[in-house]
Amino acid sequence: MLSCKEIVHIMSSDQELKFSQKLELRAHLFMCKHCSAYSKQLKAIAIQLRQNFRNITKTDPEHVRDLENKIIQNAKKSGNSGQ
Amino acid sequence: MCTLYEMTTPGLSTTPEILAAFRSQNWEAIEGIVKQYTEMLLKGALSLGFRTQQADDLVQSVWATFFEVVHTFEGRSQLKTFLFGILINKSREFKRENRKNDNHDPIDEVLADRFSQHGSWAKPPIAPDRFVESIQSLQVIQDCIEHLPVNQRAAFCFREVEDLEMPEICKILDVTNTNLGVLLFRAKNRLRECIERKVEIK
Repeated sequence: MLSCKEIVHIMSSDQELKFSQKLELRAHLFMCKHCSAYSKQLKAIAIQLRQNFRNITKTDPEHVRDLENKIIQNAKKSGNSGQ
Repeated sequence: MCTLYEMTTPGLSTTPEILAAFRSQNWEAIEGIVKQYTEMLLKGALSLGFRTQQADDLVQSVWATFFEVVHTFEGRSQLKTFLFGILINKSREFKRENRKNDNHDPIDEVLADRFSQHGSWAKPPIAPDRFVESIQSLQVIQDCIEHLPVNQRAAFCFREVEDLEMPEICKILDVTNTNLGVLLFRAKNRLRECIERKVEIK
């Protein structure tokens, strides 16, 4: 039988589980309200961060083009590509 | 990195093609490579917490390094994995983090304190409803993620937001599968503890 501490470790470190461990994890979460709360919190964090990242990673196409041109110019100037 | 890791369009794909383009200073091909990956790297920089000008500087320095080391690219990983590896290293340089700090993280003890000797909860997590409600305000979670070291933030982001497979993330971060587990463990628990503290203060 895995302890709550071990269950938390399994859930947060994302390691590959054997089928029997998966079953034990599920049974544990069903019976233990604290670990189940912990699991729900981790899921909520992931969902919220997906949304946040969609917002903070928005880029302006024109800005990207400028940046690309700057990078290419710098590379040509230094002329060290692959040398 | 986040959300658009898979966005790149097909271009030069094989290692010999890429290396030949650089050896012969084939600028058309080199421009093609820059155009293929720059937006992806910029999004990566933004998701690692760099803001506008700093994100631009970071991406430029990734390319500068790439041009210096491209001859060492052996095609053992995909070009984007190689570029993301440089992005992570440069990000750590920009934030003055070094690998020595990877060994110990106070979160390990914080979490251990939550359990009794026998591994059952001594200080259980707060009720999920309250927790979920408060992270819906953007600021709480964003403040918390800003405190993560680059490699934890990147590990979390690749795994939870990008849905990358563990072996791919290991290649980008240059860590073993066990170490990646430690990074994810620390990132998730730091985030959760940080959010919970903010909820409790409210």
